[in-house]
Amino acid sequence: MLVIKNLHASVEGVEILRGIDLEIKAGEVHAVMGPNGSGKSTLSKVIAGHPAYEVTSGDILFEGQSILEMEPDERARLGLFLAFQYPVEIPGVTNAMMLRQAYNGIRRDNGEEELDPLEFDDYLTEKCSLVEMDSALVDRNVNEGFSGGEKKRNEILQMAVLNPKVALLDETDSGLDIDALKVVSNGINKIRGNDKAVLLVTHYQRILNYITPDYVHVLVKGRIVKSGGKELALQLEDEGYDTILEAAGV
Amino acid sequence: MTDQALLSLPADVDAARAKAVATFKALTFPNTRNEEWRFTSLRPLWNQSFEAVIGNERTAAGLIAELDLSETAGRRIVFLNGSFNASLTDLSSLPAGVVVRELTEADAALVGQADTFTDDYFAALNTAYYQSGVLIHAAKNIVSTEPIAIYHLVTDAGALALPRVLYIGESFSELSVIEVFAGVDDAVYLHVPFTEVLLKDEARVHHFRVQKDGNAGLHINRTASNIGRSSDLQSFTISVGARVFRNDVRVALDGEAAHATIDGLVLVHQNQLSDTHSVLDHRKPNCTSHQLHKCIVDGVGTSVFNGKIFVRQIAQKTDSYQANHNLQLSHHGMVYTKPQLEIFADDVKCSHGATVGQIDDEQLFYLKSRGLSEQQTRYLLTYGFAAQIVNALPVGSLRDRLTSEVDNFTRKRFEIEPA
Repeated sequence: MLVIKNLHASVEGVEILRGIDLEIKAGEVHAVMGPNGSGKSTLSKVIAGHPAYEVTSGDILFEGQSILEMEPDERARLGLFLAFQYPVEIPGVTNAMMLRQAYNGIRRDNGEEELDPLEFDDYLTEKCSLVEMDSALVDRNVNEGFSGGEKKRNEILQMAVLNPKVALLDETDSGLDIDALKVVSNGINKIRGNDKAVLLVTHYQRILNYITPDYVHVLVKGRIVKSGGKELALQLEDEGYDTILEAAGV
Repeated sequence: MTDQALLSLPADVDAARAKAVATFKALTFPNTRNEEWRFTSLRPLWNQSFEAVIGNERTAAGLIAELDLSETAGRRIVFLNGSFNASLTDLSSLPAGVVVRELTEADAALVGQADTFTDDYFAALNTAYYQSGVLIHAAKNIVSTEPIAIYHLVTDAGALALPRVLYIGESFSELSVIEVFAGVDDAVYLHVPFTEVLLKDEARVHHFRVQKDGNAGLHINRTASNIGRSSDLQSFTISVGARVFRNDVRVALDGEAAHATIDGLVLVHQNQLSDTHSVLDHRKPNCTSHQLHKCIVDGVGTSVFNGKIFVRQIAQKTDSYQANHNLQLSHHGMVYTKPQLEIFADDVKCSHGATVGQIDDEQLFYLKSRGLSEQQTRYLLTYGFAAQIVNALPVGSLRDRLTSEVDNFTRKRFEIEPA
């Protein structure tokens, strides 16, 4: 579903990604781990189309189609979703208002009829229960005054509403207490499916106790230095990155 | 504008008016060399003559219908071209203890008590020549959540409208007053209202003002408040209409522990100019004030903000917050902002600041990553910038009316179909 070929990207002239190759098939969950500053967050932002990052070479294919020239909203309407590490506050705009417009945009693209506010309300309430979120939060302004946990949960709610094909989760687990982590992981698991793919960027192994990845990749200095199964995450948890760094000669 | 036009007004002047007439005649018409008028040229007034004109009641009724506020039924005061209009006024459901009546010569001593405009051309113009004045009086301990509306309407080109309002809230009273300023489009007229608010000890008033004058109208507003011990002035102004709007708000916090909020929202586009000058005068200790003033500027519009906060030497423990945030939607719009603090006391907490900017890149990316197009995203963020301040209004029909006002303004700007 998502193929990344020899991806190089820089921000303000500094190269952050130095040749990433990754293929994620439908139904798979890939975890990307790595020390601070390795380029994990950059990778997810570049895939989503953040304008501050410049792709200097390589390609990103979504269902066989290059998305590099596409605006972030075009990518999103193809079925790509980024759950932000630091969700942005949007004063004056309620969650419900933003999500209805975004969701109806997707329905328009698919030639489906738009939902009116009442119909959308029902749909949204159903999705709230999926991520165990208080439905009162949907009438609050987007992320404004939300706690850290509520913000992360709100990202998962948005993902559930927009129902993407490929979800990029950028450190969705950081800053969560253990209960919130379970809820967020549950939400992600419920959305998982044979026709969907997940790229999970994380610092810690603990979220992988709840979301079992098919592959784990270790990103160091903008390159994937090691890939393996879920046991690789456990090894990292035990030994830290040092062994892998030494073995990879970086 | 000529003296000739003004002199054609009725000459039933009492002593206070006579004094204002003398002051007015001694003053010269302000121009941009005057510091207070640096960015606001009154050139559109030159070579125009304005005079008192009898208004059109049918047109006025149409303007009211367009800005109908359901909660104010039976509590509606109408000024038409500056004159009190009894047939459009409906006071059938006034709360007990609230008196609304026309000001008469006998009220001369009441008028001007809160007026701190000295040597101000337009304040003097209104005081000298106001066509009608209305007094709203809330007796002691009278608390009502039923808002009273005052419609200031102008229906004719060339009209000079000088309405006067005096609000007096006695101790422990609480009332909501909504002033709506509106006029017909494509008519050059001059609207110079003057509103005074007197709050006695422990009184509270919610004072909302909606400026939706006609697109060629000139509106120069004077509002002066004097508020007493532990009183609470909650004021909000939205400016949408008029070719030129000059809004001078002055509040004297004249008793200990008084509080004043004077928030504002300005939407300008095309060649509109909206200029707010405010003075918050902390005269006594332990007072608090809050001012959040937001502007959205599009087209070749101009927004001006000049906010002064005075903290007098005696006014220790003052807590004052002031912020002016401007969102620019075009390359040709102009924003002038000048928050000013003058503090003479040594134990106070005062913060002030101003920002001028475009839409935030991170917010833009966040919403686009949800599949919203560039235009939809800009529309939502602009809407949100303004809605944030409107959503907090306590009167439902006013909030809905202003929310759709903001929504229409932003939808039109970003060519988004109505929901």
